[in-house]
Amino acid sequence: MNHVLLLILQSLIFPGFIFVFFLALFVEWFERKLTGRMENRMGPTYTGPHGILQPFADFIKLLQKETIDVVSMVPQVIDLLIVLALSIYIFCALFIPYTGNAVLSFRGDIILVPLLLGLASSFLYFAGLLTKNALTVIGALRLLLQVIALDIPMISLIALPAIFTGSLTIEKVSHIMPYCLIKQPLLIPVWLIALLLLAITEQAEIERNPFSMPHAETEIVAGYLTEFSGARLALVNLARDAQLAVTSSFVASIFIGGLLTSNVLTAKVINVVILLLETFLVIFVATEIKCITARLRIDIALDFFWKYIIPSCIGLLLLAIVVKVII
Amino acid sequence: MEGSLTSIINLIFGPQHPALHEPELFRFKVEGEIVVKAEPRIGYVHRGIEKLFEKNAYIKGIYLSERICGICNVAHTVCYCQAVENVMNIEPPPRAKYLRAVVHELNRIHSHLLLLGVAAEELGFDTLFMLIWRDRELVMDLIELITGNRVMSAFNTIGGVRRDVNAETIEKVLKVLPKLEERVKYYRKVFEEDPTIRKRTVDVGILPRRDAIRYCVVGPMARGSAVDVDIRRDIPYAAYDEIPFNVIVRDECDVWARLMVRVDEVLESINIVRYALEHLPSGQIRLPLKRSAPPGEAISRVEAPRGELLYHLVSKGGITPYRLKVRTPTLANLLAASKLFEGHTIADIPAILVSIDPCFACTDRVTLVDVKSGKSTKVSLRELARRGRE
Amino acid sequence: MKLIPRLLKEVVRNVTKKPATLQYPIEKREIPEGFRGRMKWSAERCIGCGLCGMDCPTGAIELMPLNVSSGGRPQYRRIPIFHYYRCIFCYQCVEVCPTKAILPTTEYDLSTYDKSKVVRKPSKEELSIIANKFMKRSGGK
Repeated sequence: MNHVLLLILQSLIFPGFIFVFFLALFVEWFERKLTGRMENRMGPTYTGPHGILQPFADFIKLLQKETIDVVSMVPQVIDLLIVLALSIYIFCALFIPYTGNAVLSFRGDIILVPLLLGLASSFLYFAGLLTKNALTVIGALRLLLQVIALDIPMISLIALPAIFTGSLTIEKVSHIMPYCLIKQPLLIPVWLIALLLLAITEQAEIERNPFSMPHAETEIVAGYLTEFSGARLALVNLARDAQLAVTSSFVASIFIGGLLTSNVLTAKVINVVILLLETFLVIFVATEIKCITARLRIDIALDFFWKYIIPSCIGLLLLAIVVKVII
Repeated sequence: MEGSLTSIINLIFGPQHPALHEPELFRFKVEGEIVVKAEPRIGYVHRGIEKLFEKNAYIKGIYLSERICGICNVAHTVCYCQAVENVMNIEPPPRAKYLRAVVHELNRIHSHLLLLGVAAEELGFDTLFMLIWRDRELVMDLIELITGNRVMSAFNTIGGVRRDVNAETIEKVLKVLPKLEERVKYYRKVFEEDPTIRKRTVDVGILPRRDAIRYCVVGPMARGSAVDVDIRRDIPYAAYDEIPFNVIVRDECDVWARLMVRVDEVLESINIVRYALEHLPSGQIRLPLKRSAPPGEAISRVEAPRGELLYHLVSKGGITPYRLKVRTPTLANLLAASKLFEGHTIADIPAILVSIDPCFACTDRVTLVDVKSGKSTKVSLRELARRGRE
Repeated sequence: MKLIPRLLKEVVRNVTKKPATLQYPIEKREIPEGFRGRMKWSAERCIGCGLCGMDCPTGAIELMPLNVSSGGRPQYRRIPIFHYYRCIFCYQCVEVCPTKAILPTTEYDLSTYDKSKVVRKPSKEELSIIANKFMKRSGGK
C-alpha cells in the first residue's frame, strides 16, 4: 500500500508532473535566453530576475486567452491527443534516473523511452493533421516524414550505450557509462562519433534548426501548430518544452551518465545536480547548432538522413559490436 | 484543403504572413510540397500617391516621393528631384551631385543589408539575421549623422541637397567605413561558404539570361542572371560619371547569385562613398529654390537598390505637376518572379520571394498594375480549368 | 563549401559578450547633433508670414489667423500651430522660415497618451508679443 502511495507521489511531484512542468518552463527560458545571447540580443528580460519567469507568464497568459475552436470533425480528439502527448513526456520522465534511481525501471526501458518519445511526437502530428488547414496538413506531413526518418538512427544510436555497458536499463547504463569507456579506451572513438551523430539526430528529434521544417515560420506559419490557440496552445507549448527537457535528460543520462550508485540522500542530490547540468549541456549544444544553421528543405533533410545519417548510424552500431567482441 | 492529400492544396500566402513583411497576397497551388502555380495578387497597399502628386506643390512632392518606399527613399527623391530639375531646366552644383551619390550609396548599403538579413530570416537563419541587422546599425548611424534621420533622409531638394557635410563629419564617416567593410566581407564569406545557406539557395529559382531579358527584370535580379545593366553606369546621373566603380554581374542565375550580387554591391558602394567623400568638390550645395516649372516633360531614371526606378513628369506650368508616373523596380521583377516559383517546393517560396527583394508599398501605386494582375489572373484561371480537365 | 559553418566562432563568442541591445527607455543612445527632432518655435522671431504652414507637406502646421491691427480695419497675420503627431520631421518649415523662428532640436521622445502634449499652441503672451511687433510698427508710422 505504502509503495503505491509513494509511486503516486513520485509521479505527481518529483520526477513526475510538477518537476517536469517546472523543468520544462526553465528549459524554455534557458533556451530562449541562450538563443538571445548567441544572437547578441537580450533574450527574456523583464519577468523575474533575468526574465526567468517569462515562460511561466506566457503559460498563464495563454491559459486565460480564448481558445478558438478548430475546424475539425473531432475537436475532442485533438484535445485528447495533446493531453496524451504531454502525459507521455511526463511518463518518460519516470524512467530517467534523476536521483540515480528511476521510479520505473525494467530491462529494455532504454528502447521503450525513445519509442514513447516518438509516439508522443506522432500524437502531436495527428493533432495537427486533424485540424483542417492547408498549413497544418503540410506541417504535419513534414513532421511525419521526419519522425519516420528519425527512428532508425535514434534507436541504433541509443543501442550504443547499451552495447558499451551491456545493460538495457537506463538506470544501470547511467551508472556504468563513463567508467566503462575508461576501462575500454577502444570504445572512446566510437563514442565520440556517436555523440556527433547524436547531436544531429537530436536536433531533428526536438525539431530545431536545421530540422525545424514541421513548424517553419516563414514557410507555413507555425506548421502543425497553426490552428492551436489559448489553453490548447499553452498545453502544446508545454508538451514541446517537456519534450526538449525529457529528450535532453534521457540523452544526457545514457550518453554521459556518471551518476552515483549510493543510496545516501546527499548522493541523490548530487545525482540530480549532475544530471541537470548534463541536460543543460545537451541543450546548450542543441541551441548552438540551432543558431549556426539555416533551415533545410524537407527533401534535402530526408536525403541527408537516408543517405548519410542512417547508414553511418548502422555502420557505427556494427563497429561497436565488433569492437566489443574483440575486447 | 481539397479532397485527399495527393490533390492540389491551395496555399495562401498573405495578406498577412510571416514571410511577407508587407500586406500582399500570393496564391500557390501546391501538390504535396511542389508548387504548381503561383498567382500574385497585388494592390493591398495602394495609396493613390500619384494623384496626390498632382495636388501638391513640387516642393511637397519631395517628401511624398520619399514615402513611396521608405527603404529606398533616397533613390526616390533623387529621381524625383532630377525629373523636376529637368523640367525647370536647372542643374545642381557639383558638390550637391557628389553628396547625392554619397547618401544614395549609403542608402543602398542599408537597403541591401536589410535584405540580406531578411533573406537569412526567411531561410530560417535567425542568428545571421540578427547579426546583419546589428551591423546595419553602423550605416544607419552614418545616414543619421549626414542627413539627420536614420531612414527618412529628406536630403535631396530641387536644385541640390539640403545639408552640407563638414570635415569632421567626413572624418567620422571614413572612420566607420572600414569597420563596416570588414563585417560585410565576413558576411560575404558566410553567404559564400555556409553549407545550409548554399543548400537552400544554390540552383533554386533559376532565371536564365534569356528569360531575364524577356521579362525585362531590373537591378540585382537582372545582374544575378548575367544581364549587365546598371543605370549608374549606362546613363550616369548625379556624380556617377566621375566616380569609378564596378558593376557586379554573376552568371549563376539562381537565388544565391542574386544574394551574392547584393553583398558585392555593398562592398562596391562602400568604395563609392569613400571615393566621393575624398574627392568632394567644394562650392555651393544648392541653387535658390524655384517653386514653379515651365510646361514640359521629363523622364528620370535612377538605379535604386532594387533596380531601375523611373519617374515620368509632365508639367503644364504652375507649381504642381500635371502628371507624375512612377515605375518601381519591384513591379518589373514581380511578374518574372511568379514564374520562378513553379516546380519548386514550399520551402523555396520565401527564398525566391526574398531574392527579388519585393517592396510592395512601391508596387501598389499604379492602376496599370491592377490591369496587369487582373489579366494574369484570367490567364491562370483558364489554365487551371485546362489543368482540371486533363 | 565548408562543412563547419563560419558563424560557429562568433556565436560562441557572443554568449559571453554584452548584448548589442540598448534597453531603450532605461538607457538612451547618443543622438548626433544634426538630428531632426521636435522643432522649437519662438514667438520673438515669428512674423506670422505663414510660409511654414504653406510648405508643410503633411498639414502638421495649422495656420491661425491673428488680428494685429490696433483698431480700424483688421489686419491678419498667420500664426503656426504645430501638430507634432502629424509631423514627418522633414524640416521644410525650418528651412523656409525667413526669420529663423522655427529652430531644430534633437528631442525625439514624443510618444504620449495625451494628445494635447504633442500640439504646440501659441500662448496668449506669445500672441501678444507678435501682435505688439506690428502694432509698434503701425504706431510708429
